[in-house]
Amino acid sequence: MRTVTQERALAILSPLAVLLLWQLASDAGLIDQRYVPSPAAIAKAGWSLAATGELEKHVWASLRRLSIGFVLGAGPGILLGIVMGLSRWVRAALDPLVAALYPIPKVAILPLLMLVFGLGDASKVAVVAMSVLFLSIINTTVGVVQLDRIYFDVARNYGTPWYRLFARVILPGALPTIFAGLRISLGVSLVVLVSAEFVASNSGIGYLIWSSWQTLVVENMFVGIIVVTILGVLTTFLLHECERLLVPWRQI
Amino acid sequence: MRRLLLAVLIGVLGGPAFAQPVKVGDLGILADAPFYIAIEKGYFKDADVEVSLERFNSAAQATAPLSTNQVQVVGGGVSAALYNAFARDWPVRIAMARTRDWPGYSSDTLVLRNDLKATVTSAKQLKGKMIALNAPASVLHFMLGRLMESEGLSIDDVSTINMAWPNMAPGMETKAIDGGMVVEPFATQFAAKGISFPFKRAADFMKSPPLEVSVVLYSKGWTDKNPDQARAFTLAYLKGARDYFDAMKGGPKRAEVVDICIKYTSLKDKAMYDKMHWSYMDPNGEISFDGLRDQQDWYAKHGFVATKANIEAMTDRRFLDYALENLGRVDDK
Amino acid sequence: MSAIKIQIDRLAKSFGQDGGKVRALADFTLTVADGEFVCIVGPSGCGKTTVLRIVAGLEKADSGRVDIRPSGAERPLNAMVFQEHGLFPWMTVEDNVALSLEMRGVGKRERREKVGFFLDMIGLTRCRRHYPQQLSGGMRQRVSLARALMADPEILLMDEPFAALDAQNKLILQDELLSIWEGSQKTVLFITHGIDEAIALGDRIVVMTAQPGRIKAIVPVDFPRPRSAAELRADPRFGALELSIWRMLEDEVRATRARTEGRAEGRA
Repeated sequence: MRTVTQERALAILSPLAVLLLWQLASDAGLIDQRYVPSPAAIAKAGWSLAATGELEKHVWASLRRLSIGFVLGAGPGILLGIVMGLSRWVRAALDPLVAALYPIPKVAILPLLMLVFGLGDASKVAVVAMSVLFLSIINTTVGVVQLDRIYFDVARNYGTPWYRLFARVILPGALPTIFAGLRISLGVSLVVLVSAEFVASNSGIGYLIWSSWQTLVVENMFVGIIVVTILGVLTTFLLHECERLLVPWRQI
Repeated sequence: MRRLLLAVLIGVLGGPAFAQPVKVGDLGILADAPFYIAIEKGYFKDADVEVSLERFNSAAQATAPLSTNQVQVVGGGVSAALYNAFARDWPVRIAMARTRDWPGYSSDTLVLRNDLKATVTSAKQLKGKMIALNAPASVLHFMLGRLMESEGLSIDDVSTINMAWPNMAPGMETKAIDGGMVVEPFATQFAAKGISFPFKRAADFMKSPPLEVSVVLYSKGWTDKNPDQARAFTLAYLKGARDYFDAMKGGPKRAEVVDICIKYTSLKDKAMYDKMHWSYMDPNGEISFDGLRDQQDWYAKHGFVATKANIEAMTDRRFLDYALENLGRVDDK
Repeated sequence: MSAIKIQIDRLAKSFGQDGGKVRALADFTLTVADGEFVCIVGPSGCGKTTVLRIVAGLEKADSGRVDIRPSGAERPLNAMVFQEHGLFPWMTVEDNVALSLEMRGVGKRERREKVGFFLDMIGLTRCRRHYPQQLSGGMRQRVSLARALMADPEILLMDEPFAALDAQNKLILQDELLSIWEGSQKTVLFITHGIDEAIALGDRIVVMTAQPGRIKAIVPVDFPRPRSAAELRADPRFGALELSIWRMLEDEVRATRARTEGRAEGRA
């Protein structure tokens, strides 16, 4: 228990130490504040953005797109991955497609997605969903394929009907690998979303960063960047808690 | 630290400062034509100045490297970014005027979807419409705001969204947006494709002061260290600007200038040069301080600029004056 | 002798595609009486696991048949105790033991109640909420055994269940198995590569030949029951029996080795 507390303390202290060093370097003039504002200046800018409600608007816009896109990508991705993991025929048919589509930079086809889904949230949700979809398919397929054959033998031997096989054997067996995929997807989808919000948008953290840089309000740009990192940490933590809840046997 | 490294690197590799080529940040647009003309017609060579081009996506992106003297010259669009760079005390100076909107030579245009032609006849009817901008707090944003104010409304009476100019065509075709703030050749191209029509050009309603669109910016680090090179550069540049002015008015140099523009800019369609509006360019490089102050006030009023800069103090016209002394003035009408 | 429980008739099985076809099993015929404990020993790869998998219905024989006589009650024909990784890591001890009930659709509360008896029997009541990887290898195989008994099958199939355990734990588990089995009167088919284990547990020992696996001999073990696996080893007849079975197996093991070494050289 003590080591856990110490680990948590370190996890909080190390970013604080970086901020402190940054501030000291700014005060000492080692960092040119005309280009890289100090943490205090960024905090001040963040505070005034928060006070007007603007920051909240951007955060919610991004979070909404991120969460909807994530669910829309991960759900079908996991289902398809399970089918591919179980059937070598489906796998043979879809593997080349997935391999071909997976590496396409999703931001590159954003203008195309905008034609289909319009300029609003839908195109950003779609770009996030597509990024998550392929990673989920790939990881779930691996998770199912790597399931020890003995589990299927045990299930058959104890007369498991298919729907219970799915819920009690295949899904839980592949879950650790699925979560590994979701963790990567989360980071990727944040990056993709922020870039998508650069392109055509009037809200979201990506828009805040881009428009602040376009108008050279450097403090606000750094506020946006720091908010993205905080969002990254918080959503990763949330996913980790989900994993603890759904994969308890791995936590021991 | 980075600048120190850079300085060391330049010191080691560079040799005498005068031999350094002048790096010019360009966007590949028609307003950059004086750079291209001066290169192609050898004006820079005659002045003993070596020039290399660095392509940027937007003027705002070029401002930071300009301030650190990684780039020495940039044709900068007027925007909140420019005023904020001044306010941040970035070592960047206005050297002379570049493009502005003038009757007959007005590139900056609000285009609207063709199906709105019957229903939207005055700026009043723009209320509630979705208008696309290529960048926030830019000259086109300011222009849209002034247009709304000309009918007693404000910028807050329209919705805006940011997207690149080429994306606005599908945006209007899918009716996701009602119109867009564009420059040439987009205004003419979209109209030719039957997507939109030019609703208002800047010169239609912004007469005094006219809309000041872009200026030529110099890195202060460069002009401090190498004023002779800056003088020579300015002389050659102004010759290029005057060739453009001649071509713009349909003078004898037009065919030659069009060929140079086709070579350097993204506008390759020769016929388009005779259909569209060219931006007005002052052949004497004279800056309209009223126009620049007017814009700064607007950005400040709408929260894009926190601290207003003294624009005269941010202008260094020594090099323009030198060029004008040598070349004389010409009629700017 | 009591009634026949399992009738295995001329089983044969091959693996692989046309070119690299390997005959795993040939002409395997065996009759097991109700309540009998039969051990099958043989060199590695002799097809003894294949026999068990065919009897369990996990594999189809190329020819021959398996007949398990039901007792009339509503119960599964067989339940298998697998090698070391047979427990589901994502289920608690109690859920693993109750697997057969859950798959039959028995409700959670009823499962909890019924599982208690078997957890008691294997002495793991206080670990009921643990996950398999929190248990030692011996505890895990106890859970596996409890799971099979919970299913209350016609016959019990065991596939080298103690192979991964150290010698001391193996002895303890053999003794526990003996006492549990003697109380249950189940018919057991038990695969092992340990001759001593087969002698300690079985009523009869089936000795198999190397590939393709055939029955080389069937050796009766007439030590009286109840037995103790540890004490049995002190009996001089135990050593004699072990040696005579080893003599039968020795040639087969050598044959297997010669074949695999030949293959390795052929590849090199």
